[in-house]
Amino acid sequence: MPTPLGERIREQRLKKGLTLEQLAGAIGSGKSYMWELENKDSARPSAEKLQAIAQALDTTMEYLLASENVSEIDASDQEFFRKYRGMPDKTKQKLKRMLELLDEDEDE
Amino acid sequence: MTDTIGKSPAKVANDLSNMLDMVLGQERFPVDVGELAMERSKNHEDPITKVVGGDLEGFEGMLRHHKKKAEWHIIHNTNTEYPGRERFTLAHEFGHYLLHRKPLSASDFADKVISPEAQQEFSCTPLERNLWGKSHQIQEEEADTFASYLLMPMNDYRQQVDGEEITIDLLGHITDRYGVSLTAAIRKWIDFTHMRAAMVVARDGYALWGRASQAALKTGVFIKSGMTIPNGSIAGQGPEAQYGETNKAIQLPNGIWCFPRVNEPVEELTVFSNRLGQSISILLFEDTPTSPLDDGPRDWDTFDQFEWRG
Repeated sequence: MPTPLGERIREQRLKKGLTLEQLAGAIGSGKSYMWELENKDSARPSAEKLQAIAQALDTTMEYLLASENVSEIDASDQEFFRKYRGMPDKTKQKLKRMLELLDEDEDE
Repeated sequence: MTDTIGKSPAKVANDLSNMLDMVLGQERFPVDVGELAMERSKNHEDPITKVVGGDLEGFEGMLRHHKKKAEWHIIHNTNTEYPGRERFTLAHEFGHYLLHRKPLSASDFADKVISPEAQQEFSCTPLERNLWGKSHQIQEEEADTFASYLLMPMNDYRQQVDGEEITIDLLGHITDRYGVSLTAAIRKWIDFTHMRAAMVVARDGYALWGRASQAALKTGVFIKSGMTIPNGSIAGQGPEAQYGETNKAIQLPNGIWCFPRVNEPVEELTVFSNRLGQSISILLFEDTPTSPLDDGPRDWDTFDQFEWRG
């Protein structure tokens, strides 16, 4: 059950066409450590490691750690978005619309 | 209609399967979960009135009630990465309805809107599992167990595989019949087979997770998440090693797959998914006499479903 961080690292690595070994080599870590980072919830990399990974993948630490910012005003919206913060924005909007439609439907 | 809340997930699913067998006969697969959910719940005070699918990337499914009346909806993602996942998700949400919901009635909506204490929602997203509490996790596992029994009743599954050799074709027949993913199908087989067998889901050279049959577990086969996939294994060698040869399990010599108490020849059948960058291996060990096993239900742990639900 990969974490979003692990997923992002893996995504970027594949985009760059790097193998697990190559990325591990580039940051001076072992392959199995790198695998844990990508695939395990429990892996907690240090800031230095993360910086090295970001560099090796031509991206930033911020990107790898990014959690989407929610700046909605409505309180119920906030709660909704908090609950689904793992989902892409597009999905959140769509789901929210679907739920609203379902609630409006009172003609039966 | 008997109450199902708080009952064993396998029992609730089996009761439904028996009912479906009676009404529709044996050739009734795959299960049309949406229709079943609405039909089965329609005499409740709080029925499931809508099952709605949408292209909701990153989302699995949800059981939720109407804001203003005692009705439930199932919302699910139709754009699933894994074939068969959609059906499993639907069955999972239906499981929450039967097993976990607090029944609603018109009195909960006295002010035209649901009273705060009656509010509840079961939403299942794949990404936030580390934030779940224990009780949530148990409910998720129960919903998965329910789904697996509902979609793949054990007696029918046995009839399909008993006396048959495990091949890619046979697995294809199973996934077609039940409309589930390969992972869910193999997982189910591992849970009820009397053979000494195990499954290993791997990526980039290490096991994501795995599971051994009871008979295998009792003789020391245990798949640890993160264990190294042996170079000499089919999974370690890559697709050519399997597809280039046969659609059957391939005999490997001693010393390839090793477990603390087990070092013996193993037959391996591995299916590779390019799309997911993953492989699923079935390991078949030599049969040794074991005491008869009970067929009691084994619950699904959380690993399975969010990796490859379906």
